[in-house]
Amino acid sequence: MLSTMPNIDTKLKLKISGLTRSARIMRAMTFYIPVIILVLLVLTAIFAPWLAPHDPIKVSLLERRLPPAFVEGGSMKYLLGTDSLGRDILSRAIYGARISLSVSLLVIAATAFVGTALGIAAGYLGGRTEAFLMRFTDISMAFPGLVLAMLLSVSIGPGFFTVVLALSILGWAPYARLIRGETLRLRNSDFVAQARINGASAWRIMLIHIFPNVINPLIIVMTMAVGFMILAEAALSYLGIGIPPPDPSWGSMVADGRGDIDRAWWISTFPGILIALVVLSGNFFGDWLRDKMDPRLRQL
Amino acid sequence: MTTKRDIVLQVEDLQTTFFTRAGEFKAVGGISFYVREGETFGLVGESACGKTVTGLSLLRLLPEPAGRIVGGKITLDGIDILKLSKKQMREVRGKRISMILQDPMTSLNPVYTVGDQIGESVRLHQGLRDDMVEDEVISALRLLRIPAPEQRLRDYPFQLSGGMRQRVVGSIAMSCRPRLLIADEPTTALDATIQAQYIALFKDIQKQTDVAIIFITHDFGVVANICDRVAVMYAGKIVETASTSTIFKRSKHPYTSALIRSVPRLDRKDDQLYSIEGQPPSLLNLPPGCRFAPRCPDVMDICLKEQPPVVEISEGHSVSCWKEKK
Amino acid sequence: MTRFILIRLVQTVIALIGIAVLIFVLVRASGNPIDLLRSATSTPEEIENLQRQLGLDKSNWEQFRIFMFGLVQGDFGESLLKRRPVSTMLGEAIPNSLKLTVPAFVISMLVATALGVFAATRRDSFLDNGVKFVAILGQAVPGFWLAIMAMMLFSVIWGILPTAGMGGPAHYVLPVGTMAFFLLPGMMRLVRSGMLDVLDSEYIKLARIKGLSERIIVWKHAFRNAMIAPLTTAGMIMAGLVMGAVITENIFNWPGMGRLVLEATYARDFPVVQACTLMIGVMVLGMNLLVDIAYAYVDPQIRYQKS
Repeated sequence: MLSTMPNIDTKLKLKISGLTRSARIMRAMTFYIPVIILVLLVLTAIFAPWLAPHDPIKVSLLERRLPPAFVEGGSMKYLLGTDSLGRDILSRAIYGARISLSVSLLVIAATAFVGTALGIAAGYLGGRTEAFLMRFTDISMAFPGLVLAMLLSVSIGPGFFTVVLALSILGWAPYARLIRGETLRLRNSDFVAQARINGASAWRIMLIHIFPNVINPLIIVMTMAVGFMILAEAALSYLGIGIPPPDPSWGSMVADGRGDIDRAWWISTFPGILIALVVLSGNFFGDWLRDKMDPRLRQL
Repeated sequence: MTTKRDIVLQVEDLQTTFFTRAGEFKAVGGISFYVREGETFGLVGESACGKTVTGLSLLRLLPEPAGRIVGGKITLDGIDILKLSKKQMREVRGKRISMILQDPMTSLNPVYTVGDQIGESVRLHQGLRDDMVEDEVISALRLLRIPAPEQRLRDYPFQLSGGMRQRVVGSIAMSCRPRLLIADEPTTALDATIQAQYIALFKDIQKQTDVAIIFITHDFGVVANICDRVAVMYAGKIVETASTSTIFKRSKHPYTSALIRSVPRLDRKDDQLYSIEGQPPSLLNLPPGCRFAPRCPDVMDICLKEQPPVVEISEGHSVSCWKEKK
Repeated sequence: MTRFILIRLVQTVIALIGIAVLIFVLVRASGNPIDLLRSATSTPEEIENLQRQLGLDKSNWEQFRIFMFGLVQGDFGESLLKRRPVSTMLGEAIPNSLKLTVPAFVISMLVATALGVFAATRRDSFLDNGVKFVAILGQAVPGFWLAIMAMMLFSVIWGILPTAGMGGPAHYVLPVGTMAFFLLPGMMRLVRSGMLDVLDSEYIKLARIKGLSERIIVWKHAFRNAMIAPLTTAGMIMAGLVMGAVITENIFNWPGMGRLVLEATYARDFPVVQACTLMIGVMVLGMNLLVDIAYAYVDPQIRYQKS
């Protein structure tokens, strides 16, 4: 036939070509700004003790509710002001980055591991294993995580580990669902058939042949989960069932200022903006990575 | 054809352009043709040559706001349809001009029954009472020879095979007995045996209803089976128009000849399938001369400088090529 | 169809039993719950009394039997903090929660549907960009923070709305608005992307070829298909609803379940936490069951499937 003809999809072509200068600049901005923010976040978390001007948990009752430096009555000593116990908000925010980042990274590592294992098992083994695992996944996805967090908080008491556990117990489900879908696609591929013909065991096929092929979508979903987990940790800490005081979590910092909104707006305002900024950056970066690596996953 | 039938559709110098930020994408660059009652007219060419855009232009269903008809005239039974209002145009669609899309697996709405989807057209265009709609739906299913239509109309698309779905799509298209049917590669997604059945079915339906058909395809094998006359399109232009037998026996345009030679044939043993070197020009910036010139084996100086005129070689056979002008 | 609902119903009951077991185990996971309950000054005698009162002196299996039996009868025990039957407290709190969640849910659903559909049909218009912007921002801005900011603006600075508590219609504005915000961006995004996918499909092209009006194409042909994808993620919306209720009720001091359960959590009032989490579980699973039925109604392929 007309073998020399590339099949040009008109629609696709229109989509690629239709970018103006300003749209290209916008696209670059939604990449560079989030990346810069995320890099700053990581650096802040690592170098928190050197960056923070004050001790984040040192109470100073004489310097309570001091406004930020740029507001009348504020001083350069406390750039973002102090909270109702006289603690430096900037220093607390800097240390808060450690909590946000460590909780979300730990949870993502744990959930990605469990979810991938279950997803590959369900997708490759099929049958009853699959039916059971997928129903279990469905229920886990529908179960409100907050309820579980409250139960855990009552039974083992609030703390860093409780938060990680609460977010991890249900957090594996989206990975399992996605990885199962990918595995189903791969299970029928020729290289898996070839491996089976060569006598590879189920374990070997899942580990050597399927796993490397689901790494791309896995990385995408893990990246996209960063923002969500930071938000979840903040919400739990805000509700008082996350990181217990006096350790600074951005969520509990917002809660600290709740009773002071009539006299010290800055206590709640700054940590909230910080959360939004970081989560936004994480989401934008995740979207960018997905578009780059695997646009198929648009639905996520 | 012994007696000349009425002309259903007359297209004169149709030009369709997509306005994108990257520039003007001249998908159809001024084409003219007509289709008579009871006749099947083939529109043949490679993908992205503008044949589907031509089909959508006739229905005025270009993707908005990028796609626009920028010139020419489309006359359906004496009515200039480019002058109709949007509402009037909706009355033309489905009732006077219908279209069958390529992929039967995706062109039916998955959440409505076959009966609902055919009945919708009938109710809209014929203004029938509910109890009469079902009779019309059944008759539309019968027209496409769908077995047990009384049961089928309660089925959902996912309950039917691909071939059966394409017949349902045909039933929707034919339900209001349109004057013109545009079939956009309706058989490409089907198996070879079902393809042949479907084509035979359409010949039969045409005999019963006198519908004029524009058959869009890239496959000269299909053309030989169903078309009375053919226009060959290349990069938004018609390069040659003739009756099917003339095209196969005495094609004049080098592109037509190349296309025909690239069809594998059982009656002749070739060592190698013919293929054309190069690629069609970008529709964003077209060459000043003949659009096929860069790939043409018989290219001359003038071909690269000026567009070739349309030359009528014999009655009903016209070519757009400098070789024939000389 | 009946079979499908029956299977889902059985699955729901199993899940429910699973949750009950989970709650029972979790509450006892840290060892003897009595350690959580007694105050530092309790005498051994008091502890023993408490233990007997809670049935903790019996074997685990016996305790579980009593626990499950109580649940079936709607007996959740007594609050350790308030010394009142938990069922009475729930009876007071649930209607208050519904007064907040139902309007918020309905409002966000209607607004999300309208905006999502209009955004998808007018792609890249001003409205569409606005919807995209709100959806992106809504997924990043913490709801609890936004609620506090709203309270600061409307109640403290402008003084046009009451700060907290339950009362006249004005008391509903901020809490309902906050709760709706928890749901709106996600829903809107789902409706929009669902509509965009569907509007691009061949059967919509065919509907246009039939000569149908845009209104029928959008609302009859596209919308029903576009709703299938969002329905599968209804579980996440339910989770958002629970989260929203707990946060909103606590910020605005609303006497509903969300406040009850959180206060009980702080006080380690475990009969209340146990009952509330179970009730929330029942409601979420019940809603998911309804969603599954709605799903089967929308998608004939589910309705007709054999297994």
